[in-house]
Amino acid sequence: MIETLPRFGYGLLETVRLAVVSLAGSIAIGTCVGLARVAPARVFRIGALVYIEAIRNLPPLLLLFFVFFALPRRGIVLDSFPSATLALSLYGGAFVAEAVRGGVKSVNPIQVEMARSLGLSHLQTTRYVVLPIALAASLPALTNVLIALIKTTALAGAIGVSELMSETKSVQSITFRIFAAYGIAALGYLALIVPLTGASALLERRYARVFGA
Amino acid sequence: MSGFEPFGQRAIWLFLGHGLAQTVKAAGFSIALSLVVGALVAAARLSGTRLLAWPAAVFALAIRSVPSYLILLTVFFGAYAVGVRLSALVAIVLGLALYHGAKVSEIARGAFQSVERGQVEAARSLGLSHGQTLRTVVWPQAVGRLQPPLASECILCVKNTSLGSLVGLDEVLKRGEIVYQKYVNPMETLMVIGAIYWVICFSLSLVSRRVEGAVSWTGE
Repeated sequence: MIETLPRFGYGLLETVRLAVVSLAGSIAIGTCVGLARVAPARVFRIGALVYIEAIRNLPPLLLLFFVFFALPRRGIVLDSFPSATLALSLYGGAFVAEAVRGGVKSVNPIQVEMARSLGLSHLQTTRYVVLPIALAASLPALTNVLIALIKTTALAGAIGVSELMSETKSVQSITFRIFAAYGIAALGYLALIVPLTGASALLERRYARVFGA
Repeated sequence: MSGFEPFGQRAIWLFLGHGLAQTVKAAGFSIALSLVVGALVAAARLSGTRLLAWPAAVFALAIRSVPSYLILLTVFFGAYAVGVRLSALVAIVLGLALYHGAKVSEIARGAFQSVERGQVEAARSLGLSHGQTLRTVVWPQAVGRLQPPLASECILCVKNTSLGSLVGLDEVLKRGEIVYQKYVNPMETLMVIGAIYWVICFSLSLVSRRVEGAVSWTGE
């Protein structure tokens, strides 16, 4: 069992890499969609709503299969890792969008009026006033998205990414040490997620103190 | 649009319908059992007895901090290792009941603890026991706050039944894979399967919004 430990380490690194890259993608997509969700133009609002409602009601496994097996039929051929990144970013983006929308809603309208009356355009107000406050306010929610993304990376093995879960499965099929293999994998996930859970609770308390919400 | 052509046949829909029945069955049993698990774990955590509260808290944190797929595989292969043969359906129901049960317990705890402490203290100082306080003061207020997050958890559970396709449960996503491997139309088939999941999950959220209105009307 000891000689298989490097494989768990490799899988854990791959899980972290996939989760971090997907988080970046989710934030990029989610910020745009979240802002569109509260945009003055109706087209943007409806478009964002359709995206969020569509993605949230689909299993992430189906999104992974769609990107990896269906997109190549339309000429978009991606390797396992980029496919998983794209699918997880699309999935996480819907949740980040909701977090950003919540953050924007928590911005005091007077601050927006002040910015506008100082001569900032709508876009400038969004960029320099609303977005920084909204992102800070949605930090606890974003931590929860990261936790969910780490757990969802476990499915990426189904399209050939050698993350922790798929490494664990192959170790288990070689050694037949089922409980040892899944126990080690569980420790890996706990080491990543328990501190994040703590951080999320801490951020929530700090946010409640600062913003009084 | 030739990729949609197979869906003109009745046989394809019957084939997918059988998978859908497995999905619904897995989701229904998992949700029912996870409510039981969640209620028991939450009761232990709120019991006021350290000997019960601590193990329950550790259980909930540990289960919530690993992927549902890991729990599912541990149940599936673990049962096999100790000599119990579980069908894929039983394995996924047990796995998802554990995973979502832990999350349900967290939802229940949050709803109970969201009730103002002063009210609990007032009830206790009026001579109500711990159990009486929970039942007559906390529960009526907590139940309204339980419902929206429980509905989201049910939707997550429906989506998670798709993991069954990875351990050999003959559910709707697995049947979809079989269809697109035969007709070489993954894009169209996955769109149809996606639409099926979407309809189930979206109608669940609609029902939940209805119930939410009803509960908060009489409850809070």
